[in-house]
Amino acid sequence: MNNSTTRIQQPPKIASKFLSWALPDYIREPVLGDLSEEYLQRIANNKLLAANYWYWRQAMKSGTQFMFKTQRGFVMFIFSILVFLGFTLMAMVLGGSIDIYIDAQSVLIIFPPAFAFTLAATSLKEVKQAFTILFGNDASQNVQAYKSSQRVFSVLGYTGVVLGMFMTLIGWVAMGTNMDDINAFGPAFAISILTLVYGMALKMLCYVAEQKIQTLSESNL
Amino acid sequence: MTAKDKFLGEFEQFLLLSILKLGDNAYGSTIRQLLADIIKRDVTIGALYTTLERLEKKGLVDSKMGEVTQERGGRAKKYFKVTAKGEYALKRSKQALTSMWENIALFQLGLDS
Repeated sequence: MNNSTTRIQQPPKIASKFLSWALPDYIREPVLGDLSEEYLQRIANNKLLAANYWYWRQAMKSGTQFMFKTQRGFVMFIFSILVFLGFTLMAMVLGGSIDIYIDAQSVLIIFPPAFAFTLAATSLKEVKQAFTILFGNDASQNVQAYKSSQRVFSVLGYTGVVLGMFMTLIGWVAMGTNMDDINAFGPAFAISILTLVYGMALKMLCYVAEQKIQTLSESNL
Repeated sequence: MTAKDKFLGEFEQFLLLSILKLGDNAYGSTIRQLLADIIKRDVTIGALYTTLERLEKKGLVDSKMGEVTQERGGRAKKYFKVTAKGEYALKRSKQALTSMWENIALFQLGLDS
């Protein structure tokens, strides 16, 4: 077997990780082992592309089959966010155009600072733990872990809203000093309100995350 | 197992028969390949383990973890064995089917039995 074949003897990493994440603990090892063994057999027959396709197909089909049981919390959370985004987009389209609701500057002055303030108020470890608990469904956490994770989302949400208000007020001050140009007033006002909208959206997602962790803590402890 | 108990499903029978055919070498990968070779059914590993788990809960198969091998990325095999209850359930399903097939001829479909 040549070097290139030796190098690619591992199954596709992303597919493997997805399957490992989705599988229940008691069959994770044998299932991944079985697939790995058959994948190597297929590669040995010089069918690398077919082997990769086969592995992806097995991982996707089996992974999606199990993830609704093992990662239910995560799936429902993502589903609720997609529903929220879908209806929000629909409302935007019905209201005119999506473009008027998108402003890169407003995004940049809300989201990165909100995350930075949250890191400062809590810690990187607590932030990582909060997202792990939210997207994981790890029942082995203690009371303290759940509480600190809730605090992370609480800080993130409130910081988003307060930043939104703050930036909106700054926008109004800037508009007030340039009231003589009435044509620029409308667009400037809309942009200033957008920062508050983004802050409120972040707060809403964080509220759902906070409540999700509360539910997890009540069911797991 | 009483007379009122349900008969085994088609896939359950295929799995139990595969395990019996493979003997001491019955684990996920070999069972999957046997099904593909003999009945040309390419089942996903997830569907296979879901049914095996159900059979194990019913007490029709037993399982044990085996050795770790290099070609499996250092992961252990899970070997399956049909229990006495599993063999009885298989026989019962076969007898029921055989009885139902008695005096049936499928001439219209071009089959000779």
